[in-house]
Amino acid sequence: MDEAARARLIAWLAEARGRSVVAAEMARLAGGAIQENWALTLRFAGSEEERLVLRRDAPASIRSSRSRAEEFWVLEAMRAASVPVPEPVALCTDPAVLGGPFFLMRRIEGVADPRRLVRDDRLIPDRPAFGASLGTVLARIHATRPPRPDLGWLGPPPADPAAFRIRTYRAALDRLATPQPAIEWVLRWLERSRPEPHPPSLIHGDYRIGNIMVADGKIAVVLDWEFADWGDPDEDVGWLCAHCWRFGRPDREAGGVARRSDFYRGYEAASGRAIAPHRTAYWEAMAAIRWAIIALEQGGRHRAEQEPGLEAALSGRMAPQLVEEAMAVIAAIEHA
Amino acid sequence: MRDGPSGAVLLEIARAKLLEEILPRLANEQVYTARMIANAMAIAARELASDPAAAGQETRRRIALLYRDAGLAALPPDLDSEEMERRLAADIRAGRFDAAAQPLLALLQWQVRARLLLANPKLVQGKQDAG
Repeated sequence: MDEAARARLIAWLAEARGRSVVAAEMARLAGGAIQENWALTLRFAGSEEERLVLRRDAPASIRSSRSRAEEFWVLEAMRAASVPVPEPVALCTDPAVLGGPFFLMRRIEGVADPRRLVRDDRLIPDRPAFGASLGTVLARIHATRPPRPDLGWLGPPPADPAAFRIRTYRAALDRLATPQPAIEWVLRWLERSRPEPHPPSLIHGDYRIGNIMVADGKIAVVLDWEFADWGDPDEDVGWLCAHCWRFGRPDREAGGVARRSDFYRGYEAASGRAIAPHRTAYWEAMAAIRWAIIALEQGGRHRAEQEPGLEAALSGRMAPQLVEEAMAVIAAIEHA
Repeated sequence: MRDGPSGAVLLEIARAKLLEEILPRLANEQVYTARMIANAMAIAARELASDPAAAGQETRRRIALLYRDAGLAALPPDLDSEEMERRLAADIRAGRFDAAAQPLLALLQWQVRARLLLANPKLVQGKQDAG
């Protein structure tokens, strides 16, 4: 962000708040190929220092996801529903300020790094309680159900969320350079084995360790709402438990950080809905295949030289293990 | 023919140097990047040492057998392996293999396993050890 952009940002902040900005510091935060996050420390005339995060689209953002404005509105709805999220502070949709929409949210201190959360028991001393809280918070997210006028821009919920996902993933496969018969087989199996859909809920769409900030051994906030949508709540349950999101601790089936039974216990108590293991398994197979397709898209994108970066270039090579994982989940379902 | 050592061997030597001599001297935040570089070199070395022409031939042979076993009309014999895989993918999506799940699965597992051996052979060995 150049000096001129910073100056426009400061001017916009002062006008939005009706007070002059007397001190401002900015630093780019790590991570986020799709979104850019900036740590912003501000002081308005006559008030305390404020620690904020500015979130905007990365300049070469390609992957379709929620706009920054939509993400801001989801944060507002979740805050009203007592879901722990960073407090949304201000939204700017005027492209004259930073070239595109951005929003500000309150900065929270904590640890979101999955590898640390999986390894270090000092960060999560009570894993059973933490596992249950993963369920409690997710149930609170899922308690938001359509119709919701404030979330009307989400559009109508899909009649059959699994069928909707399968259509989306097939369209993604059709854009890849290489044929993927094994992924096609998994999708065909998923198509023929669709569970009866639950009534639609708001789903986070990327509820896993890495998007959950932990402080004092507890969930501080749930981050990264760019995939929020109406859908089948079991999709989030399966995503968190999927083998590919356990960060080297496959024995801890809830995200690599807790036991599955603790997570289910928290979810069931808060939602009043019993989790059916075969439905979660279905969505775990879907999770592995979704990740496989994203990995192949990232690898392919690299070939098109739109997004240089070693991590993205390597991600296509992760697809075989994810496909194998999906096939193993399906074999286990068929065997049961 | 090129003079030795082969590209795959060069990559392996370079990777060993990276891991043994460079990595221990790196600052913490660069270790992850160095490991990714080492991983990229290992994948590239395995792919260089592999024989894609032979793998393509084997793929064509297996797909042709699969169509016969599934009782489906044979694919044109002049298709290359990628084009055969493309037809197979489309036929799976269209449900033409719904009644032939077992032979299809055997082929797909072989194929995924072959890709995994290039991308991450440790996972294959781990599974074989685990029985």
